[in-house]
Amino acid sequence: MRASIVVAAFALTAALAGAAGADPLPRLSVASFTFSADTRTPAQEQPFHLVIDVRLNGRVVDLEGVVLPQLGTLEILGDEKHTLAAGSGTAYRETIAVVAHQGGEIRIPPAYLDAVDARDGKPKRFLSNELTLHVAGPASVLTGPRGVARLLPILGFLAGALVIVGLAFAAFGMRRPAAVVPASEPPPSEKPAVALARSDGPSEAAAIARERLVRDPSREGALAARSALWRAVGANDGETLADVVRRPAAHDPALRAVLRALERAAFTDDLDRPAAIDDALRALDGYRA
Amino acid sequence: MSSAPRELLAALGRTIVGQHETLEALVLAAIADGHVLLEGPPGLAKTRACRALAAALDGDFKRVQFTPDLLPSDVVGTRIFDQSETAFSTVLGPVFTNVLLADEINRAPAKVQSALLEAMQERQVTIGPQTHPLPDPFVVLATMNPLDADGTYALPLAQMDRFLMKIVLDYPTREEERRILERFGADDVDLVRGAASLDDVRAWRAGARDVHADEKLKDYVVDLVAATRRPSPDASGYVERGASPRATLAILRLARAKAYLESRSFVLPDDVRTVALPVLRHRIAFSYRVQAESIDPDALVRACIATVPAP
Repeated sequence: MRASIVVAAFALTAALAGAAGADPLPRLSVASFTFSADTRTPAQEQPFHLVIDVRLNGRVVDLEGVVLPQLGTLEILGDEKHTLAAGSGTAYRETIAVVAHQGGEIRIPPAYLDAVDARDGKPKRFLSNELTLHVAGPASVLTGPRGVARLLPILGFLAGALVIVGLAFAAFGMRRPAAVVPASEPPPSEKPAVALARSDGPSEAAAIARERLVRDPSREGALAARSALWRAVGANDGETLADVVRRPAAHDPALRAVLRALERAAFTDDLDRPAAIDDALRALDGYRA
Repeated sequence: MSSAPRELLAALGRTIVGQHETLEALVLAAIADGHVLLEGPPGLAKTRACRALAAALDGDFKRVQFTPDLLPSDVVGTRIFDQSETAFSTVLGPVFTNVLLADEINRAPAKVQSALLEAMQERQVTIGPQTHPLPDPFVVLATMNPLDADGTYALPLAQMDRFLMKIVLDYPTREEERRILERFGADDVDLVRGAASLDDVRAWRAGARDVHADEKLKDYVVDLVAATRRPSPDASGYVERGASPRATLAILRLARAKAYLESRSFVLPDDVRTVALPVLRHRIAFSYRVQAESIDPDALVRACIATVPAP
């Protein structure tokens, strides 16, 4: 990954040096800088998330200065940032909730971060990857015979890009298997949502949540069960139920019923909690059936 | 027979097309015993919404058009000498009502604004030697027009703080505007009356106070307000002073009202996050850079809210 960062970064000129005089640049060792989305094919008027991940060598309490690119016609609904320093590394994640009001292709330029590269002491601009989204909707360029014709070169480009990215990942994987942040260090609540979603699907998480709730029918048990389900649908702990039910993975009505029941079990008063936990267990059984 | 706050909201919806956030804010203000600041260009049914609230509650409604020559006595009342009785008698002002619309509150000088805001806070008015309690419930809905700022007296932050929330109105959607044409194009539409009573409002207030708020949610509320005092690096150059502890109290009070409106006996993180913006947007002092750089203050408040993870 280091090789890809060096390719992406370029030495900043006098303008940046001048800026550095006014507001000193942080000294960082950037290991990776990625820009991704929940989905590359979001639906019009359907909120989704853009995610910026930065991995740093060394501990940084609060990473500042990650600059969002222009998001074109996307409307920003919310923006959450988390910085986790653990072991000898730091993980920064920024999740931007957005919605597209127009169909068609949206090309988002890279996010960037200006910093003094701790490896050689030079000021640099670190760039993430670009992001291309295809919003399905009435105004989409992908509809109709002309749209299909226009789509072919895009598909060809995407296929080529995928092959190149795949090769780069394979090469990086062979050269550097260890992650920036040691796997054993980060607390469970801060694990990347994508990884959790891959490891535990909602069905498995529902089984875990049920077992936890039966074993510990308390506020803490309800919070733990809720947390397990949220991760399974790709949500972060810092989101609210309204965010979670908008996620594509939570579109199943039975799963939504479980999420709502667990929300009640987690936040209701002690008098109502036993009934709320019973309801949550019933909803879990209904979902698993 | 008592009514639920949802019935009041539905009644308002039968009178006003769209503006759901405004209508819900009016109902929440009634439940939470607070006052609302409405900001938006003219012609967006602000006055009609306030009239609709009073009618739906079978309560009194008064409207005061704030102008530069308005006097405090024009709002709260005064004592006049009755020659036939050879004694002073008290004439109560329009503030003695259940729903008061203070139209274009920023057009009156500070002493009039202060008189009203004191009444809002104390819920009583002193005229001469006598103190008169205001009717209960008493809801002030004040409007501000953001377009014509010439000759206005900006409300100081300390006075803005008295408003439980500030709602920013926007133009209706195309579909809503078509429905407005159909509903109001020909004849004037009567207001829906008696959807709930003033006793109902008092009962809702008591019910909302009993809504349970988990400890984690109380921490979340405190963190949200604290985030306005130490904004993110992106927003720090734009914020001069964060929100006061009154905002902390207001968020929790409104979150409880929101839960009550949704027929829940407990507050959810979503309730807190939903009410945070209207509670905080008028309580933060922004620097000159916000105006100079044409920054949307709401975007800064949203950024502050987004930095705090919900429980």
